[in-house]
Amino acid sequence: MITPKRALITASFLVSIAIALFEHASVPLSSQFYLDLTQYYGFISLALLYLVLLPGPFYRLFPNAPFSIAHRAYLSGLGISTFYFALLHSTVAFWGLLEGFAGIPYLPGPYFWAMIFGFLALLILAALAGTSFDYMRIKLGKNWKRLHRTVYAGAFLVVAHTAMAGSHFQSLGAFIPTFWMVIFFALVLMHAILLNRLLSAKYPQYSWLFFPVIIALVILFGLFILNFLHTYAHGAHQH
Amino acid sequence: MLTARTSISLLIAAALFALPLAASAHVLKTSGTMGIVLHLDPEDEPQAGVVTPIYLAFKDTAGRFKFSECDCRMYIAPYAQKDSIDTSKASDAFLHTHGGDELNADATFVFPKPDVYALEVVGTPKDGSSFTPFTVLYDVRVATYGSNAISPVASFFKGHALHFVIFGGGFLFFLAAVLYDRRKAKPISQ
Repeated sequence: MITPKRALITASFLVSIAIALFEHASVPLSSQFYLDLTQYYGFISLALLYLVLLPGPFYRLFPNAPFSIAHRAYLSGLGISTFYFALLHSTVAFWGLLEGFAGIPYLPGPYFWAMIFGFLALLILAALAGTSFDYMRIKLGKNWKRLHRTVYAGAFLVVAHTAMAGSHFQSLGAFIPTFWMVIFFALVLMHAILLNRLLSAKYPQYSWLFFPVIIALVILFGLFILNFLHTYAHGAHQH
Repeated sequence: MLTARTSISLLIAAALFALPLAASAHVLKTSGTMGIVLHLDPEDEPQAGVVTPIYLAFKDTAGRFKFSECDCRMYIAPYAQKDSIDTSKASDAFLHTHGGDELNADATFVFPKPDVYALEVVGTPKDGSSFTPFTVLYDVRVATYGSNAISPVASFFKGHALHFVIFGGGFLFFLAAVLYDRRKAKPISQ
């Protein structure tokens, strides 16, 4: 039976093959072939991760928006596809661009850390993709939800990895990084609003401004960390 | 029939398909104790006819390399001539440090036309012994001609103003949402 999950996984597989074949035909040169594949697979994985992360806060804020129930059938397929493209991205980059295990000691500091962040994110995505089946959901019970909340840690690592190592993220003022900054920040703000609702309902004794200020400071701290990592990776020479 | 098991098998097959048989690097190249990562603007897809910024990040596993102590030269030639590059002449693209940073250097170069180029970086210690000499060779594809014109909009967006708009606007939106929540919540709390 063709379920949304199977359709998404199959589509991911076919798209990945199509990209590889198209690139192989248009870029016979090996290094540029790997570089292009790394970029394509990385971007697709990032976009899929965003699609996985978006419905949760969005439908809690706007419960009457269209597809508020229907989208659920696609989430696990999107999650598996996110991991699939992240795995392809990592594999091609590691063996094709970074000389594999032999290259690790030679990686300059920022690239080394970018790779570690990416690897940790890949482990998280693997754990989530591996437990995204009904069987595991039932088996893990309460812990399933806890485990799947680590997607936010994974997302932060992915964003840090992208800001540090992404070919398109050297100069943050260009269109592509600006676009990603806007949509990811919108996601963070949706979570901020929901978290504020939750905390101010739970602790009504605090001033109405207390939690918004704390949340804003936490977000600013996160932005500061990302900016620090970006500057560490690319130097302060460019904007 | 397309079952979950078939789908997963297909995914694993695709992942194996993507495993390159031979490791050929573009970003990282190694020579002796040196590892050098190359980045070209824009987005590792350089364009012909315009100034291309080239960035190098160095890592010496022996920890002895310092850019200021290196006679580092960069040579760029059509890829077909990669084996006959004359490394005794002056650099084709002059390498200089980023604000005194000993492990990062940059250069600029104008690729004359779309082509595949060999980009060779040769480093020898000025004092003859402070680090191990190295030579690394990258292949660089220049696919298109670039446009010289940088629009005023682009230069504005390249500044920090946009970041203030995104994050400042975002925080204002957050505050507005909090105030909206508060107004809505009031009748319940009273």
